[in-house]
Amino acid sequence: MLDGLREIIATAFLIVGVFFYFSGALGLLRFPDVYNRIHAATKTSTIGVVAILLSGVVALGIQPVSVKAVVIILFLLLTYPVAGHLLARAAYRTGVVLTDRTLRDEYGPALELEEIEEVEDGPEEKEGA
Amino acid sequence: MIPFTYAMIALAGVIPIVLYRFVRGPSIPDRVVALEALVSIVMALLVLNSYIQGSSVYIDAALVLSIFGFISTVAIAKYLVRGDLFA
Repeated sequence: MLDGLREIIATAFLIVGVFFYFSGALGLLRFPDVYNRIHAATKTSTIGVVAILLSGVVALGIQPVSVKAVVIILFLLLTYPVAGHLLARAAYRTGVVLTDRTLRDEYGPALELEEIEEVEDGPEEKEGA
Repeated sequence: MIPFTYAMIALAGVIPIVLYRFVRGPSIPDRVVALEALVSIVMALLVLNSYIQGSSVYIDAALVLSIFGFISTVAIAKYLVRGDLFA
């Protein structure tokens, strides 16, 4: 009885993981912009890997494999958003163009303001030192 | 029996779509994103293989691969912004 329930939950996790991988690949294929593609790929990869790892944890119970799977889940939940953010930041700062359908761009004006402040602050710091 | 093998086959079907984006580009961050997605797919394949065999050998490789994927993405992003890694 309990084993049957376990198999059902593990299979459900597996299906969710594969579905998210497919939707992420679809976004990577069809979205018009680097930023949209980063958004699609990082989120879906996170959920896909975590769901597939959890399916094994549910199926196998407490074993060395499932403990390592939990460690991988924690590491991925910490690192994937950071990697996506850094990549989008690098793309914007190297001048990758946004798509025509963009409605609002708030990072561009903020970046210009930051550069102006850096230029103004630069000489003062040298005089102080 | 839990269908780990079918999940592996389905994930192998995702790889060509990601490779298309990797080859096509057009910008460098596009290729990096595709590569990151590819790394995560290979990681899932290793994990599933480890579950099928019940051994913890392949899942170690998946752990190392996840660490290398993160570090390489951060390094490429920093290189793109600064033009130098250790500046």
